[in-house]
Amino acid sequence: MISFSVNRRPVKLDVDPSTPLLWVLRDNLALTGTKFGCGMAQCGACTVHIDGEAVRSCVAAVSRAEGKEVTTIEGLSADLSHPLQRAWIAEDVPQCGYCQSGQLMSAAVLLREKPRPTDEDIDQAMTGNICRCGTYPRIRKAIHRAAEMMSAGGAK
Amino acid sequence: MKRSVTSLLFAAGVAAVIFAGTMSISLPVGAAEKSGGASAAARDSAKSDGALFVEFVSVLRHPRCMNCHSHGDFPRQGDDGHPHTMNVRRGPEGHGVTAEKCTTCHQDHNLAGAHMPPGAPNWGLPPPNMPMIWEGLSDGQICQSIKDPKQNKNRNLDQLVEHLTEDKLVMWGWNPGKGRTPVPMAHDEFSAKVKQWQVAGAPCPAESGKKAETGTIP
Repeated sequence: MISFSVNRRPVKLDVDPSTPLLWVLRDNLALTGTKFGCGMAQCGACTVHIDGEAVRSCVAAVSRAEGKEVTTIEGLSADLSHPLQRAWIAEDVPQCGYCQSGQLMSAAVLLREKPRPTDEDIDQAMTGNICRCGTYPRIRKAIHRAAEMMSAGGAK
Repeated sequence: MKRSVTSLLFAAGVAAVIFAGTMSISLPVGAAEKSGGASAAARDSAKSDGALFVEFVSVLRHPRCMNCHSHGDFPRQGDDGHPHTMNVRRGPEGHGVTAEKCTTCHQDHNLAGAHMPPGAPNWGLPPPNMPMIWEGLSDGQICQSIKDPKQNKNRNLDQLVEHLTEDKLVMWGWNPGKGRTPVPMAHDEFSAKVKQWQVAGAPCPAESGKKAETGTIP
């Protein structure tokens, strides 16, 4: 049995400890907001947080989450009120949308560590998240917008 | 008188033979001793000049080690030492920055298959305050840098040898995962050479050694 917390909810699962966390989230816990992209930590679509740090869930065994707090896109906020989610909607960032949950999870770590990021900080933090639709300019714009919301007290 | 002269000549002859015999035996032995002594002295001199370090420095110069001990604030990849994809940076503690930390992709073990992220415990670069950059250094300079507590995370010689021979991140160089060339020496042989160097007092080579090499610095 493996015990950890997902989006502040404790879970206890009888799964092979070597199972990728992504499959446990999607298949065992029905949290399908996190996507499978490349399966080798190259694209960022599967990004979630373990204890607040970005992790590619396609290559992280579920055993890595033992006793820890996992956050997925579903847990970023309960009601789409996270500044990043609001900024994403305001800037109409997604095109096909497939990579966007990973983009948001990476951006959340960036803003926690650098609340007022420069373009360079954004490019640096987001380089590992690929968007085949090429929404990068809107992603950058939305991150700046979210940073402004957070500095104005908009973060929950 | 005649008898006395004969005796004298005989005695002189015996003495000459003994002397000559002594010479004929002692000269080669003396020469051999002198020659052997010179070789031993040369070996001692070489050891004190750091030849023992040079015997294992090929491991430190290998891309599996140099890719994280090179110039630039970033790790490198491959046998050509190209910059790590995704613009990964060293970061404040040597473990990346924001959403691109080492543990974002790397686990504490290699993942199966080619092109999958390699891994080992404490995966990362040396920290920026002690970056331990070997690129462009001679053998002697690399030797001095790894021994310097101000550059090597305050390790003494015992701790340095333990790091070189037992640290799991260093050991990864012998088991780097599919598609990666391991370091060019068996681990047992490397450990023995490092410990031999330690016992000799960890002498460093003169400064004119080979320069470390990596890929192009962007």
